[in-house]
Amino acid sequence: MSMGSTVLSIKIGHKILPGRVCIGLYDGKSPCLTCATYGERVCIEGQILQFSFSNILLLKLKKTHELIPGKSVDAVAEDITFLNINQPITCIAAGPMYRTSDRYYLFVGTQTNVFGYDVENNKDLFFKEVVDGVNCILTGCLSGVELGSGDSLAIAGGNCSLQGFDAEGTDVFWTVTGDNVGAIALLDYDGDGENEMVVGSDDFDIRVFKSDQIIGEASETDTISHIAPLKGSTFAYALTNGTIGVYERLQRLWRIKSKNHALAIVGFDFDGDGFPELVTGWSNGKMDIRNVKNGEVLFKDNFNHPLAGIFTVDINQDGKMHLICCDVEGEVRIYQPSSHDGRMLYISPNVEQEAIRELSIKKHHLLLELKNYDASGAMKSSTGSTTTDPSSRSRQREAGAIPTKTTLQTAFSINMGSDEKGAHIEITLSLNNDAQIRSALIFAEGIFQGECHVVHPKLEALQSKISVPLMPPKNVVVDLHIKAYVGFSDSEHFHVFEMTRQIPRFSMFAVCKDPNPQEITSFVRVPIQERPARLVMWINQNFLLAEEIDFKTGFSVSFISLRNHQELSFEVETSGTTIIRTNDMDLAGDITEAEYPDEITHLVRAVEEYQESNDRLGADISDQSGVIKTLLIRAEDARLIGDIKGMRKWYMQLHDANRNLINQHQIRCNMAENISESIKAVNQIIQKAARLRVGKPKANVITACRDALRVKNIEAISRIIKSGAT
Amino acid sequence: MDPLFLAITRFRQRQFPEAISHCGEILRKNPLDQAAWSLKTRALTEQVRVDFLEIFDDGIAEAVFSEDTIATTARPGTSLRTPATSGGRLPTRDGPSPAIRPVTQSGRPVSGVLRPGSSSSARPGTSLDQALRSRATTARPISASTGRHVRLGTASMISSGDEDAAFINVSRLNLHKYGREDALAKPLFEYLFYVENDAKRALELATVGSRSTNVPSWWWEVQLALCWLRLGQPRTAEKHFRASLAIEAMLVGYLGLTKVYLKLDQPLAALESCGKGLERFPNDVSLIIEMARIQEGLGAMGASVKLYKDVLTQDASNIEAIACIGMHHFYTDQPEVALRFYRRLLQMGLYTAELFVNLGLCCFYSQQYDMTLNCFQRALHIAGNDTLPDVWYNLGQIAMGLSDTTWAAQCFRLAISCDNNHSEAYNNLGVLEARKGNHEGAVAFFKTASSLSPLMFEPLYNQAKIADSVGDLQNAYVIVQKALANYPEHADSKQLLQKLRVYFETM
Repeated sequence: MSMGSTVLSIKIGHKILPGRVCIGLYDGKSPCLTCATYGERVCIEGQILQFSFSNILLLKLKKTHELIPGKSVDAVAEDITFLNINQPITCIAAGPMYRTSDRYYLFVGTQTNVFGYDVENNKDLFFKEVVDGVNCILTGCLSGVELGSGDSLAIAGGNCSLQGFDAEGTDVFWTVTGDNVGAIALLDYDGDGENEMVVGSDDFDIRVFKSDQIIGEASETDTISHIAPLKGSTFAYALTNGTIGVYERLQRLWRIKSKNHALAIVGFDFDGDGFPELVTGWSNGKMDIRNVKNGEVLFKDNFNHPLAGIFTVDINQDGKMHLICCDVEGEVRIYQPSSHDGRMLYISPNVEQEAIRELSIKKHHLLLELKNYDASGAMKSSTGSTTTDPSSRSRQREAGAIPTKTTLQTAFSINMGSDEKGAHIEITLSLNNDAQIRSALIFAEGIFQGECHVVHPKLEALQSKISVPLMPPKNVVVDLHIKAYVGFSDSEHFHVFEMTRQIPRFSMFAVCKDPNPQEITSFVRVPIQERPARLVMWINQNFLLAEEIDFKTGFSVSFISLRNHQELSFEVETSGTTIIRTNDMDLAGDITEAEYPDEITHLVRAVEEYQESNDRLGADISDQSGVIKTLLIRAEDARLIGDIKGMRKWYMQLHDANRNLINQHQIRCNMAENISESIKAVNQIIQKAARLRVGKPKANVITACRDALRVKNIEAISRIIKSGAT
Repeated sequence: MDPLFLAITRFRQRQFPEAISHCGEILRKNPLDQAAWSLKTRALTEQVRVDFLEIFDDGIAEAVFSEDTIATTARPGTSLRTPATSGGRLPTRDGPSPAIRPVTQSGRPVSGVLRPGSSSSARPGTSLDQALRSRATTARPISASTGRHVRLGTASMISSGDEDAAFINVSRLNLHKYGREDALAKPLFEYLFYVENDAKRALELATVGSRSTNVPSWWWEVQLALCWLRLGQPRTAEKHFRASLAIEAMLVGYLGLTKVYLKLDQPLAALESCGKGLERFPNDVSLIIEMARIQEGLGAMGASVKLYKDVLTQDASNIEAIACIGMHHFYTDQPEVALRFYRRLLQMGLYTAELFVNLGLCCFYSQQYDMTLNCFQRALHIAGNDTLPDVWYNLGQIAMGLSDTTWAAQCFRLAISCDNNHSEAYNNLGVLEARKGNHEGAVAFFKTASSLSPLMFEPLYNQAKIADSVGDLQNAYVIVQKALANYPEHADSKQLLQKLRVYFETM
């Protein structure tokens, strides 16, 4: 066994909440494993209430030579410290805040708060209420953000919002994204030596922020759960559907999909070649290390439970990084990197058998292929002698031969739908002769459930034409990878036609014959500095049109959405000014990369009202809990002096007060949910409004809206959305 | 003369009952007279007003069911809850060791003055039983929202007579109406907060009041914070104190933040907030004295005494500073210097049993024997029920110093008869019994002492020593380790442990 698989194992003896684990050098030197554990739960009449408090556990990690390789040891109680948080923890992070000191500070996000804590000195850095909630948090430097104090900032991602706090808790940075933030990473995306922020959110998008401007955007097929920086502008991502992959800037290098989902990903130079490998922890307890370039597995290990977190840390304080993995049951394993330069010596006992098995499978495939060639060769020789002999033809068919000039054609068309099936677009695969399509396999991201769709007609209904309905949920360009099996009904072997087609971005819009654009009250006016001819070209390329639109100096064209039957119209004036009319602000934003104020006014008011009554309820609850504490003390006092009657009286009162408190808590929970939903909606509107602009005005809209929200100036928000920040 | 003018004059002269009765007359004629109404509210408030932040003290309930503290076992020197005497080396500690300067039941060095919090015995981790039992002598409030505040409130209501008791019917107040008028809202708020002690309603009023003005008001923010602090929500209070400081940096904001951090058990953050306050208000006595108290609690005696001296340069007759410096000198083997400080207190007109006991002890240890017993006689003469046990206990110490063990034993028994939770007296009685050779009796006393205050190391060491002498080595070994857990530097305990270890190893 090489150094690479030397395992040191520690058992903490406490359960760990997955994803809520980090490593902190709180005294500036020795690493400390920090994880959220389950705290006390409140059980009432058999049911567990929603709030389960969590605590934070700190475990001082010993140097590796103090541990025994290959043997599992229990963590000593002296090495473990607990921090009381008394709220459900959503995320934790640790990092240094000042350039002058190596000391790490702990940052904890809960559903309503984010706070920074100096573990070494038992001191708050800041404690902030965050109405948007905190889903993920990390620390680091970010380009283009001016800090009030300290040298780095803690970035918290919440419901559609991103907030950056400096060392004193001033929110120096704020911006919005399309949906709940699922993952954040800081990396030097454009190679200017300063960090940009890569954010993955619940609307399946990965966005790259430079300061508060979006400089890159990529669409994925599910909620993004993790993003990990690798090297330079390379980063890895993980989705909740079990996909992991690697991006080099916005170019995806590879991806794989598993039926388990990744719970932790991190970049770590395992083989010592100076380039990081991708370490992934899976929900079934598997941990694997993959090559960043091609996703090839270099090393794997099995845990008994799902992984909770993976990090790299310089455990011996000698400049060499170690890999630390921990699972949800509290087992921590430490892997030493390989000391061999660039060579992996991973030998498992059954690796030889596996190689033999793989090779024999390969041999089998090759033999099959050879047999096919033999058959077609025999057929060719026979066709050479007797041409139109029916018996030879059937033999040909059996062997899967088809006419040599057969080609597969594809066409998109719009089907306005019938009663049982709504409007959709169709892709039609057809052959230019009497050969039949036995089955077709269409692979496309984000259109089909499970990404792949197979059409397999019944044997008697075989045709040379197949139509597949498509309903892309989002307005994005999608590549369709098509594989069609072509042959005859009695063939045993088939020819496979492979091709790739692209669906235009706005394929789900049909041209409207009798446009009535005046009905749509909402619109965006865009001055376009291009010749109208180019605009016509853009429309021709991005919409599915039966016949292409001819260029005229001023024209208008209307579409109808196949999704919700809403209209969309373009009016292009000779000056180049285009009016896009639609009621869907998201769609307008899609087209432009307005007038939508009613909703937001309503929402902001609702938030304000909720917050007011929430405050009042909070006071009530605090008051009540004071009473409860008093009653408990009195009851215990009565017990100590043996006054059982009095004790009974106090406990009865306590019971009533407690029930009251629980009811109030339930009300407050519902209210908090309403608040967070409204705030999410407000943030989404701001983000969409920002998308209606490009460049500097876009960032201005966000900051202006933020300021208006802070002073609760609702009219200003409507105005900003309508006419931009001035 | 205009009755309102008369009422205002009386109010200015701080003759509140007269001011109240004048206002009452005006209101009888015209119940809607707002000026008289608000003046009467203010006068009623001033009668019972106390500095809330100064007397702010956790009740037993808050101390036992504490949820706000983050660190459960903070590094020594960074927390006021974890005892400064446990957990190994103490880098910040520069005062006399606990072998010389005694500690309170919560393991903090004993302070020169008795103030809210300084005698608190309950801390997280102690059981409710223990907290309730050790409460016996000090009258602690049960929780912050009840207890002391309610008592003050009801007392004031009785004194102000029947007619005024129903002056404001709180439950029928339309807080939204009053909240919008600043001139009425502020006196009404203070009335609700200080007289009625209804923090919940006060909070409601403050919320309306702070929203009614377009210009944010630091005063309302501070009041909101005070309400939340009393409701036991230090985090929310912190938010409002910070908001208030952002509007206008006022002393009360810094002091409030300090209290919030003390409640969260983050003494270093509290010190930092005091430091920020001092930048804005240099040499302010209330801030410096707060810092001195925190340093004292952390065991940093040098820093604490320096701060107390700073206080005295600003305010030469600050009782707390004089008493604390005096005590520091007493425990650093300079009783004659301490005597000077205590005499200064006597000159300032302080006439309490505690002071006379201190004077007596200083006299005794600086060899002025003629004054010692006189001081104690005076102390016994004026001591109340809660100070009497300590007077007897200290007299017992004098008797021990004079080698009159019978007298000493009598004194300790008297101390225990006044307060049967006096653990130090039990310990000393045990020592006396041990000297007589009555080992069983001595062990019983030591056990009682250590069960009453588990953080004392003396009874444990004594018990271990007796166990060692009678040959019960295993017990001695176990108990001496407990003693060392309470005070790791104790040389005698270490020696005993070493001896036992060597013995067990050679076996």
